[in-house]
Amino acid sequence: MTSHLIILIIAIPLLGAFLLPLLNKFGKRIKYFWLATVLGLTDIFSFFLYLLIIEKGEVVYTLGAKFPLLVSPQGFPIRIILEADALSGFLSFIFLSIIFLIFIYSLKILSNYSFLDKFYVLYLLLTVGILGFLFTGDFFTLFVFYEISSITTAGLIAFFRSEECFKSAFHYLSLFAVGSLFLLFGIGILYSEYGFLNMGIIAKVLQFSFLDKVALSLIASSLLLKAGVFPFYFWKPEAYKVSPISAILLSIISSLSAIYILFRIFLGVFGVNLIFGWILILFSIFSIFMGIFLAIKENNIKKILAYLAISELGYIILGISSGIVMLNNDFGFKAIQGGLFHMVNDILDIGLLFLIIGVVIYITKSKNVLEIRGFGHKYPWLAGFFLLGVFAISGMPPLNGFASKIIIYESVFHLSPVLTIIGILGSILILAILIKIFAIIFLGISPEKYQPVPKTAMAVIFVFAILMISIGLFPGQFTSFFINPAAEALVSQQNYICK
Amino acid sequence: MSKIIKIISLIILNPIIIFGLYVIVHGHLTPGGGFQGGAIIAGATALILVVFENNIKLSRGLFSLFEFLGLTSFILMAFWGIVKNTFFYNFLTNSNGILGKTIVFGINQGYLNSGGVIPLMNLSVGIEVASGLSLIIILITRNL
Amino acid sequence: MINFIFLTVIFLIIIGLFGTMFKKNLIKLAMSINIISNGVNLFLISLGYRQGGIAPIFTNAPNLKMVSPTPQALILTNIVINLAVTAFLLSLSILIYKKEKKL
Repeated sequence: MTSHLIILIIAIPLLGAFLLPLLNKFGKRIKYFWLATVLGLTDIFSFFLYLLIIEKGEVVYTLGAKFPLLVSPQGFPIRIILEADALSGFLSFIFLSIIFLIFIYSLKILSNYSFLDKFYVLYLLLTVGILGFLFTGDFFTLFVFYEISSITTAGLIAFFRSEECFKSAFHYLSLFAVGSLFLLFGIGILYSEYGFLNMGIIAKVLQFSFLDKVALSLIASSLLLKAGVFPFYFWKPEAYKVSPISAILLSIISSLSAIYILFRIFLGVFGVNLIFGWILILFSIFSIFMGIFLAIKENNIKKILAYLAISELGYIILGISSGIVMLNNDFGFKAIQGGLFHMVNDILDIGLLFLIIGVVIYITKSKNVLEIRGFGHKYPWLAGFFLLGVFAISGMPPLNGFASKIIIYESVFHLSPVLTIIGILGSILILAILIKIFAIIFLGISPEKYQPVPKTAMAVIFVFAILMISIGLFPGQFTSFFINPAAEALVSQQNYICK
Repeated sequence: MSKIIKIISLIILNPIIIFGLYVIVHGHLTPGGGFQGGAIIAGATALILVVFENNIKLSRGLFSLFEFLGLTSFILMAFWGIVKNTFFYNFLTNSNGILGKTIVFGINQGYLNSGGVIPLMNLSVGIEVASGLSLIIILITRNL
Repeated sequence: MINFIFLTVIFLIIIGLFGTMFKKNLIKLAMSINIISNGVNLFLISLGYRQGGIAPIFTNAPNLKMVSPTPQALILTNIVINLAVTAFLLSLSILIYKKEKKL
């Protein structure tokens, strides 16, 4: 049973998505029970997978046969291969937990809309796409999961069925259709040179010729498009403006998994390359500042948070890529740790802000949230949690954002002090923007009467806040249990490739 | 459309569906398979919709049901592989039972009784693609 | 000798990219994406080609000189995915047309 954990994590949501139309006939309660079972079960499985990886090392799974007969000269089975190491196991556990929480959050928030059954089918399929990104061992499976996540995200964007939604979904899907074809073209170039699709085999025979660089650029640009950072950030605010909150959070998670697979390919297949590392550092700085400056002049709350999400992704890429550039000294490892740690904190912080804004939209039913005044007067808890999220995302000391950002600042300082200054400046600007929003929405006294906050949504917000505070108070324990093995797995690629 | 076209299209409707089924069933022996055969059968749906325009009612629920059956049988066959060996394991091949005729590697005559679980998967993919594509065509011609 | 296949591939991809960038009509956008997809498919299928090779199927094969089956599997997957994307794009454009009365 333990050897099948990795495929069960991907296959159970797939089965859940396929069976959902049938269960829909039996009523709401059974459908939600089934969804909770599927998501909860995969979450538990991913935790066991992580424990297994910590105990025994990397897990490699070949589809179709345990001991395949066809084996390449490098000793790899010629099959679809799934691989999981400490990094992908850890990320799958974190992501699945958050996906489960988002499901509970959206139970009440979305219950008034039609087409909910289709929404949850797409929700599960997007989960499958994200998990496929984490566990894939060959390039072609990567392409398939890229397309799955693109199509399902486009479906989720169109969920509210207004004209704006359809336009936004059309642009998103056309953009990602082109992006995925670029990915396929890059994969085709690699295949034309070496005749293999498996990442491990290509890593062994790669010569880093000119064509390989072209292939790397094509693959990296399509993954940066998925991640939505600097050169390709423009789809993010447009898509987030119209999509439901739970879809936004899933989209952020799929962006994070794209960053994961980008660095996996970058480090694992192509090896340490300083030029590409510096290019990524440049992109990350640009996305930090681009996100903040575009957020300043914006007046739609979802767009502002989308831009801030871009700049937060910039911190992650800054940490990991500067770690790659200075991998030869100790601070490189530290920077990679900071970047990976910030992956978790990013989804928690920006996720909390999005969740609270979603509750505000649900309660007030207003089109423009920034017209609301004195919301904190009626809902002091929400105001408090929003303030907590603001402080966490801008790196205030006792919270989780500080714990990861301080690691990034300290280690990046040894590469160039300018990078640290840019990072701190970015954090201060984020704090300024969000404090302004907090003051607009929550401060003051409101004469209007609203309905109470849905209990499920409040519980999820509470859990997010508890996680953020506890990670902020005990960063050492969290780092030693999750982040250290993950960072070691990312750096020591030899283990990942040679099974 | 005129009466001639209606009658001729009804006559060639059956050959189209039978050819699609042929492509699906021989998927493990000849070029083609579930997707291609399913697309051919969906062509029959398109023909009916074009010829009879608005005078025919095609049940969406039936197509949805078949799509669901195709998808679920496919994934359940893959899951049954876990019980035997691994996910997507071909548990019928070389069993010398139904669909499990042992054949030597290399050029052969082509036995319909070989291939293990692959013809079954082709069949479920064929059902899924035929009904799914038909559903897409119906929805698009009915302006969603 | 000039490799005409790769020239065609590049030509198709450039036409498609041009279409996606400069055409405003939604149907033409979907068509441009299909053109890029066909270019990539042509590139992939040309990788597995062997002079005089037959389809990689053992049933009643005249000889064993076959083209590589892997790129064919890849482009088949890409065709299926492209079908889904195109259907989605066209239905979205129908919905947009219904609300806005222009493409």
